Amino acid sequence: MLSIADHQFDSRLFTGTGKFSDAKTMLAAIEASQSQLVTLAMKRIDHNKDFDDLLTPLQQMGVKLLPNTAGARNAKEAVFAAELASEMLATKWIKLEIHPDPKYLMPDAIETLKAAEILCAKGFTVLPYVHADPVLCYRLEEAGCAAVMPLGSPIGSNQGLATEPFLEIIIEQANIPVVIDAGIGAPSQACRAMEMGADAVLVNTAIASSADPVQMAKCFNQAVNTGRQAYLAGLGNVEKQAKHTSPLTNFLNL
Amino acid sequence: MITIEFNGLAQELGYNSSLLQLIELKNLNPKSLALVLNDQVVPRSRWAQIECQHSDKIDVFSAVAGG
Repeated sequence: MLSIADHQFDSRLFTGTGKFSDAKTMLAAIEASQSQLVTLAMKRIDHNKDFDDLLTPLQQMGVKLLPNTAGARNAKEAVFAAELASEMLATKWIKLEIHPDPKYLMPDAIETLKAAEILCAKGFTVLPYVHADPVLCYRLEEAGCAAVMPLGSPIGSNQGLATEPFLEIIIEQANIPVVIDAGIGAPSQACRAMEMGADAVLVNTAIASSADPVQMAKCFNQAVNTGRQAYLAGLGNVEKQAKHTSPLTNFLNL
Repeated sequence: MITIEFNGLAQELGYNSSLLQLIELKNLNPKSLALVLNDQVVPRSRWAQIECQHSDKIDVFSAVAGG
């Protein structure tokens, strides 16, 4: 079972709610994924649109909600967003994400660390979205973050674990859970992240942008479980040379 | 009447209207919102007590889909 702060999760697959074609599909996909931690964003209410209540069905489903600070361009805005989320959802959990560049959505390491220090001091359970930077992850752990969420590749890109060697270092060194976030585009990549020893993965786009999001959510659930089981069983060593698996009997020299 | 700015648009209100009355006037469900009055987040428990003042800037946020 996975523990983050004071909360236990049976599932190591976390899911996002963005980019689904409609709310019904999103809810069905989350249910199929068996995810117990689901991310949300916040927005000023639009005068010209009907108010779409996303919260009630998610709360009825019983999943834990993880609001994010998407849209924040610096630490000050992220702290404000966290306070807004805390008031809106009655939770101190926050996915801290600060990405001022709209093209690649790369997280701002300096502002993220600043915001994490402030939010941890205010009693928030902080899960920061960061680049796969082992030193930064260590600093965030020191600041009191409950987990770190390094990226595999740019948000929504489906490029997979482009940062794999650095994720391995983070997993080796971290004393808090490591959740691989962003860029995971296929169940095989989620499986690989779990085989490496990641504590969980967060998947949104790969499920939401599938032609069949509900089926894809099931596949991710299976892949995450398989990867975790393989990690616990222990992968064999990778060798440079061949090592025979059968006795090399000399039939021809009889 | 007073005029406030509600999510960027001018809104006329009667004197002594509370923040909660404003939310009700806009047909919004108070349970799933966060309210910001002049750049400060106001706890839901205080919405009924705080009266809107002329020129107040009020922003209301809701949860939306996101990753």
